[in-house]
Amino acid sequence: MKKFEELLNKTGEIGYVEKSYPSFVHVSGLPEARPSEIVLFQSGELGQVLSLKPEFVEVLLLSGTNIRVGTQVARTGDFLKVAVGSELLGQSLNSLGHPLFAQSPLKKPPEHRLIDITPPTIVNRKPIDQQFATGVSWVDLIVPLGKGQRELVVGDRKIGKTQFLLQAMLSAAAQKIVCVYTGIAKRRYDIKQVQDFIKANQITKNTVIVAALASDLPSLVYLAPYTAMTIAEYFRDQGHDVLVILDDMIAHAKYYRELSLLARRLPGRSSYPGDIFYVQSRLLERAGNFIRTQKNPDGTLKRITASITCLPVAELVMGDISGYIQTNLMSITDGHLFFDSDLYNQGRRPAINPFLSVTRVGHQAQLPLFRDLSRELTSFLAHFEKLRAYMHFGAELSEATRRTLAIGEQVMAFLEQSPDSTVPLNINAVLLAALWAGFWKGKDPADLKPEFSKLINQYQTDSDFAARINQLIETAPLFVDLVKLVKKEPALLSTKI
Amino acid sequence: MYTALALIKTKDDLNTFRAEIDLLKDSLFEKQKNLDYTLANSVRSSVSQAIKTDLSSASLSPENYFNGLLAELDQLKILQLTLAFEPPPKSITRLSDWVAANLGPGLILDLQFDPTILGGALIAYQGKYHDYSLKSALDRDFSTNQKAIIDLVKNEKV
Repeated sequence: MKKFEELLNKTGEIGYVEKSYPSFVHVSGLPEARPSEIVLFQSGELGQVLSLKPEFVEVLLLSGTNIRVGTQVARTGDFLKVAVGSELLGQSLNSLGHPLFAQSPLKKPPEHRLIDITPPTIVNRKPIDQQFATGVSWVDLIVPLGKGQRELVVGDRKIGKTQFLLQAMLSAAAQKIVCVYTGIAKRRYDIKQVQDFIKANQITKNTVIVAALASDLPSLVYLAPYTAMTIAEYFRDQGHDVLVILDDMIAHAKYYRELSLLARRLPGRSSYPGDIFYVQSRLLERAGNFIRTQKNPDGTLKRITASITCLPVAELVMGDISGYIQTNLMSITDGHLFFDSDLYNQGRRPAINPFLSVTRVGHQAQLPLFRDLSRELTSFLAHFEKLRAYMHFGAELSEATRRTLAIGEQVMAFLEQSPDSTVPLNINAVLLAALWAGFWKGKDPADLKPEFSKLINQYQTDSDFAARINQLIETAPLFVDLVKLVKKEPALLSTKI
Repeated sequence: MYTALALIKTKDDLNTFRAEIDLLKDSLFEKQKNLDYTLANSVRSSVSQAIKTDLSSASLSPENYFNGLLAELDQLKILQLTLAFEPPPKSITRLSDWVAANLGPGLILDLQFDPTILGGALIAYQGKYHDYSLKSALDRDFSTNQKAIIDLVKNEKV
């Protein structure tokens, strides 16, 4: 109450609630209220000014308590901010930056940042020039991502999108990248599962969870991704690369539609408001590869590069990628990873369709070796798929065709990956080169998986082996050179099996 | 033209008056409990007198008169005044007359009672707010002269 009175005296303005709707109130008075300004109700709740009309101010409620008509309202003169700092690592927060579940109290970080800002301009950006390794072979070798890229993860429900995202987080944490996972309108159980995954894989000190539950207010669901992006920007400014996962943006659009319809905004296509594109694009434009200035201990300034890689998720219905929000997101982002339900039903894991997936800036971020490998592998897989389709006609196959099919089956076994494992980039490339070189010629694809797992584990645990693999990668300019080098060292892979 | 408006001094008066006008408007379409009956039996005598005077002098039909009166009521501006005591009717009249004389017609008072302000008043008008309460004055004095006040109390005790 004291704070409310102080604000009344400070601003010299007062408002009264005239009408109360779900999620909104109309407030008379407050002549100098500004859009997006935070207001405080006499009962202690917070609201955000949504629009200014001649007769009233429309205020979006940020708490669930019903506001009675006649309640007094004071301006704060401030905008919505969230506390940011390294204290947030390992925490699960709500859209306002408060602890999400009953857990140990969060030590309040000292710095506060605005949730909604204008994205940085082109002057503060740098071209994407480093690959972002997700640890998933299908992505790293065929549809690569760059640090600072916005790649849409799109697919039907329960198709493995979240598993892929968790794998990306695991891989990012291994590269000392800070991960911010945003659950938008998720169930409590889903957030708990993510928390458990993070704890089990010991990446707590690299991760922040921002979650708005499905039972939360629409305003909090709407704000959740902006809060996550603000936290990501803090870590970017400290010089860290950041991965932001927004799961999922379709729910975000739906909750924003609900808010807009309640606010009597004119509905557009599919009843979404006219500014739905702007709402999501101004969020996603805050990701990228940036040039920042950082203060040295002696007070001088230095320029650093830091990136925010963003993986927004879009859920499809029956594989239909021509939906309104889905196509909006595709045009905003720098490509998409398409999770195909047909491939999922055939048993492929992860069910990524490389021919329907796009990466607009991933290839420029790859080393020439990996770019060459991508090209080679993609064209081989396209040829392999054609041959597989041709097989169904029951025609007689030539020796060359049978050989291609055999290698193709081995490559498919190589690319298949369980949801709890990640594969470092270098060992991925060397194993593929070994396959190409015929190391496992004639072997059953089912028998190859344990061998691949052993070698990957070897790379992750044996530093000498890892050093030799890395040296091969550094030495070979192109994929064909890598294949030749691997052929020259048959003992490298065979003795460890 | 609308002499009845002079009877409205506070927001409570306004609400009561509006209810009476709505009653009178409805009675225009009644056969038995018509306008004259309602004026005689259902509204306050002061209001009834004022309306009869206006209707006899105005060239408008009763329906247009009441519609115009309601439109005038919507134009009235409200000055919120929070006091530490409940003022008697004489004080309310004095306050209202002062407001009309110094701030012009078309302004009515919304009086509220809050003993915690101790004295003075809180004034709000069209979104602007001013705190002239005794409580905030004492708070200000205490925060600026805290040490002197504490020393004074200590000396008195001794």
